[in-house]
Amino acid sequence: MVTATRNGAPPSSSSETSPEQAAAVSAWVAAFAEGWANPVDADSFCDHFEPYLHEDVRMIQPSIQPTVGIAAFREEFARPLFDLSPDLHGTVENWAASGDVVYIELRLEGRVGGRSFTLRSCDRITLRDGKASERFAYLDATPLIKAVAASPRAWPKLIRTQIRNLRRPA
Amino acid sequence: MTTATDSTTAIRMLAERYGEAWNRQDLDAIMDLHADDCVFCAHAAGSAPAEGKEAVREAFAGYIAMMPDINFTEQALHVGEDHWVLESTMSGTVEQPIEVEGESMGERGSRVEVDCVDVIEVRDGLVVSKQTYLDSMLMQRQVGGE
Repeated sequence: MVTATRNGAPPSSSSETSPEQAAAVSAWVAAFAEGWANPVDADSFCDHFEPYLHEDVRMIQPSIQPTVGIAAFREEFARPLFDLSPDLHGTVENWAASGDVVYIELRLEGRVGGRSFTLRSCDRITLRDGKASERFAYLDATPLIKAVAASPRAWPKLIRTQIRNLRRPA
Repeated sequence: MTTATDSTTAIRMLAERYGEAWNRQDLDAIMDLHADDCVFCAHAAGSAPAEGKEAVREAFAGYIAMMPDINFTEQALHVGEDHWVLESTMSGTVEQPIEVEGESMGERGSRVEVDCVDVIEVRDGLVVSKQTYLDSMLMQRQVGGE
């Protein structure tokens, strides 16, 4: 497993990965880490990521309907998320690659209405021609939900997000 | 000279033995594959990291007591020179509730089926770190914990 921030080890990958794939994966992970490090807002976050995503990128994560496409990534994933937690940011703790698939362990931190939360995810990113075609997040959103529950001012934002999800086809 | 292929073959074999031990719910066999200074963290509600072989054993024993038929169906396995990543579906029947942040979770007889991913690091042929990521909110809904 590559330790990107824990010990600064150089990137490595499994033997199933060609040198070209390894280079593409390394570049993508670097962009991912940069994008999550200190986003200013939802738009700057999306502006950073869009060059690294396919037009029809699928985003799959717990508690939120899957999104398809760059526009949905911005409007249905990033905007609600940063609306809820404007100072959200993440640190890549670990990553590993195999062929065109990369697993990234990410520590996410932010505040909801003054309540801090930390959660960790393991994202499986599938790359095609150096861009992400799918992101599947394994994570437990409980810390975020608890922060929302403890912050009544955040409830309307969460309710708006949930209503948006209900209105969209599954 | 040990090549990368040798290393990944050894890791793949270890991953297979480890998965088989879990699917037999054989705690001794699982722990035989762990280093003394191993760590385990389930990134799920109420789970504190376990550090050291005894603490990890206790945590695993809790899962097996909760679901004596706990089983992991492999969805994808990616092997590196010092790690493996396993995507699987964890399933089982709840036998006894577990305490999550002071609350009892799990109705006896309820079924759990949740996708998860394990990131497992290896040193000298033994597991030194197991990081498990899963959607515990889904799991709580399945067992009637909310």
